[in-house]
Amino acid sequence: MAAADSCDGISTSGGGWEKTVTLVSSDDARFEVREAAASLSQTVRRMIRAGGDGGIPLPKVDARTLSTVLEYCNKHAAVPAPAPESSSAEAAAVDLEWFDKELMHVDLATLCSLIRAADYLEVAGLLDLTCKTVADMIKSKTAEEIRQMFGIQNDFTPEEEEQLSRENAGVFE
Amino acid sequence: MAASSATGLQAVGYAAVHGERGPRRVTVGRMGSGRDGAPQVGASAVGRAADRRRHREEEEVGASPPELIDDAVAEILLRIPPDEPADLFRASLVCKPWLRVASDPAFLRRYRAFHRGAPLLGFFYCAPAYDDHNWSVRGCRHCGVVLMKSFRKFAVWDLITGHQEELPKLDIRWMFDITRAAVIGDEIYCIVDLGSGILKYDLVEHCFSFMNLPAVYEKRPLLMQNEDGSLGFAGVSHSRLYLWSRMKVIKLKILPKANVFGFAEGAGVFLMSTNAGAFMFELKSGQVKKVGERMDYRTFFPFNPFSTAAQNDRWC
Repeated sequence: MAAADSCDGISTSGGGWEKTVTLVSSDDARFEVREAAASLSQTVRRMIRAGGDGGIPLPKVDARTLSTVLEYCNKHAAVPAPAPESSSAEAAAVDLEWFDKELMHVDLATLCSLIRAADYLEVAGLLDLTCKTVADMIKSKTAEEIRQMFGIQNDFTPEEEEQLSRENAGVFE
Repeated sequence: MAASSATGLQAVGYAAVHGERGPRRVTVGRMGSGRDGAPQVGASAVGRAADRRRHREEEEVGASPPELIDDAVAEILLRIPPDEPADLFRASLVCKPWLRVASDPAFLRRYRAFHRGAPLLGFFYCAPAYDDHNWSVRGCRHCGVVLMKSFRKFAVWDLITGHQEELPKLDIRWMFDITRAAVIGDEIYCIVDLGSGILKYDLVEHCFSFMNLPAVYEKRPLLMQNEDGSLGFAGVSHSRLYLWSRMKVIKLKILPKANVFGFAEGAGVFLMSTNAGAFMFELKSGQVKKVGERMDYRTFFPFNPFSTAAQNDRWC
């Protein structure tokens, strides 16, 4: 990991001085992000406290996934100066809901990468959002349809399957 | 491909989409709102969403499906809504690792806690209630109903599958009241000898212990699990409902001579019989609602079909 850059920086975005941190993805892409947003990740928060130079390495998250995670964190982190149009709590909630919905318009592979990243980075809100999205996708599907979605092999023997279907016949009536 | 792997979820197709790898610097700025009321993030986020859709189209060609680690499966299954029990059940039958996750008692405890406050779907209230009148309903937990034929002969009836299995005969000397019992963690608590005491059975140590109860309640008291997981205790005396361990007393103004005959765990609802019929008392809101006519409500078994997959752990 290159150690040329300092971990911390100062950003003037939004008209105020804000502390920023640099996150480094598994494929060495560097993301400069507000500390308030990055701290939505408990993992990053701990690493910021621990200190260090050269950016915070996140070896389990690739650049594309990290970019989406940070998109989420930026939106959900408390913004010091609220925008006039979203000043009311209700408007802000609608805005966030719209944002989350739009963010989840991705394929299953991306969703699963986001779940893994949210789990590793400990971004509770994103973990909940992504898992709920996948849960909604599978909730009305048959076991075989779910297997096809995830490419899972059916590892029950025919005898086990027969007994399972016999024992559970009442569920599918 | 197995459903779990050492590496867990795979972010497939990234290298193919992006082509190049190597150090890049990306600045992620703060997003605000635009002047027209639509979020300013719209322009960039919609662009990114379009990017993601393009990635999706590209990835659909030749991309291998993602693998899920058990923790991720648990987090997903946890969020399947409980209103249609078959949904969680079907998902648990995908493969053995998924079934193992969905059958894990710790997962099922989390699932019930996660969906706490779900409506009470129904309850058995009178014996005999089973179609074979020789059997009477003596308990109901999730999808399993305990039936009793004689003092020592019990069977478990699965409400989802209809499967009925007789249990071995018990050699017991206490006069149990399993309609007023609670299962908390690895311990079973049961009111014995007409309310004179509580018998505890430790499922890990396989031992009994006994505690005397004060004879101050008009009817036999009820055992329940408190929200914090501790043993709770409810009894009625002079139109007041006493909840122990919370040290809380609730005065029942409109339910004279009430007998608390049931508590629906999870829903936080007490069931009480009075001269005017049966009433449901919601602990959190204090709301009282009539749920049945006047009759002898001696027993109460809430129907709460949350743990539909629990029975299949034999396959794991």
